[in-house]
Amino acid sequence: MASDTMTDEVSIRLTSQRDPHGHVAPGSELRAARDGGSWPTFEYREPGVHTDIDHASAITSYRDVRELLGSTAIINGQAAYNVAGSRAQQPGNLLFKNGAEHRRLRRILIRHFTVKRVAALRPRVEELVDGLLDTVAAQGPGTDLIENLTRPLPALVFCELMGVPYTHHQDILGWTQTLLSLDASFEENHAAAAAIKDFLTEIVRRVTREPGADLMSAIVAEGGDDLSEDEAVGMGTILLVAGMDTTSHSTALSILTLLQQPDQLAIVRAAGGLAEPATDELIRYLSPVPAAQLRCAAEDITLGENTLRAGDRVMFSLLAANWDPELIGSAPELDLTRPRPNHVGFGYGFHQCPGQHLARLEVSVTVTKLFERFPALAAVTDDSLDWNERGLIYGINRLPVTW
Amino acid sequence: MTGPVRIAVDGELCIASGQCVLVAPDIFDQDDDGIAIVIDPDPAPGRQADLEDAANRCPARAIVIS
Repeated sequence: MASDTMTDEVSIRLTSQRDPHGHVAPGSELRAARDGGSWPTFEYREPGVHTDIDHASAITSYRDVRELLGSTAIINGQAAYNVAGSRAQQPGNLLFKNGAEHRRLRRILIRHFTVKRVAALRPRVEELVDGLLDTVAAQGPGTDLIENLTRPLPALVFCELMGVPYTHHQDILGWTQTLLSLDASFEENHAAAAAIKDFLTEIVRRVTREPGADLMSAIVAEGGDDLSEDEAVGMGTILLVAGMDTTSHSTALSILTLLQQPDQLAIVRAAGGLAEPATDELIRYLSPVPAAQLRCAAEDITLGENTLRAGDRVMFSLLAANWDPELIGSAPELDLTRPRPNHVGFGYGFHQCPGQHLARLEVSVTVTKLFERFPALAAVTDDSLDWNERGLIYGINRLPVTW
Repeated sequence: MTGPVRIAVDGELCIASGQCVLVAPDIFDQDDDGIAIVIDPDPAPGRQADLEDAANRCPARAIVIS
């Protein structure tokens, strides 16, 4: 499948293209676009927005990605998705908001995801990982680490934060997987979105009546009269959708990479675990979110020899930028001894991932504990890996291991 | 160095991403809202590189070192 889908320019966006051999490095066309310094336009289809093919300009160099993602001349949301029924219209979904509205919503949320607030979650995340590793051990060699470890963890953490029973985690995983698949139909995508909305609306109404110690209660209390029920649901939606497959694939790819590169695993072992600066190097190298959400130019923009006209749609290749020699020099391969790289794997600018510290925590705790618990861990095979080429988040679909 | 370094954080621009805290947790912290604050306004001269790194990583370009 891999080589066929890599040539499918409608499914595999230029900004997400990988090298078909190594599966991780940027693909040759993407590297050529970056190193040539131009902003080529390419075709894409946006699941959940419409079924037609559209066009966007590809911004791929580290310098240009940072310059434009950090600029108020580039906007997100309804202006980029000018299609009826677009999720970009959802109230409260801060990924699709700009300016003062985005700022108001982000401020209600971000206070719960500061460096210190997330660090305080470590003991609970460690307990959840220990519990999942008990299941892995009980299942015995051959078990799939994605099904039993990397996918459940962020869903369990979400249930924990939201104060809902863990029994909801399978539903959550099914919905988010549909939303992020390029193969899901428009109808399937919208059915998953509707299910998430119903689930979160029930939570918002419950905590409005009976506030608890959970995150949604805090958001509703903090928002007060300025935050509508629909906006609270929209904020829950971005927490749910943005935190699941991203974290799961980041963790699974990190495990796979360490199994495939014993010299790097040795560095982790010598350090007593995966430190967070090393986690950042893995995020840079793997770029599990290869491209930022579609944006558009709010005004005419000229940068060097390239121009955008107001209204032009733009896609940013975080992958190409993270492998740009300007960031990483001439050796872009994984090097866990690097100082924490200043990568754009969590994005850049006003929309930079609000959950990034939680993602780092979940990846580092899971990897550290997994290799402590199973020192002789090995992938069952790595020549038949089922790479998830057709998702907005990059990863593998199964990771069977032995020990 | 021509004199004491000045660290300015624009709390209105800050988006509370915490990058400065990751780079220099003894110089920067986040208040209850997540907004960056300077907890050591007079760091040792040898920390200039860390200060510039923090400013460079800030996704909101809210930190100015002068």
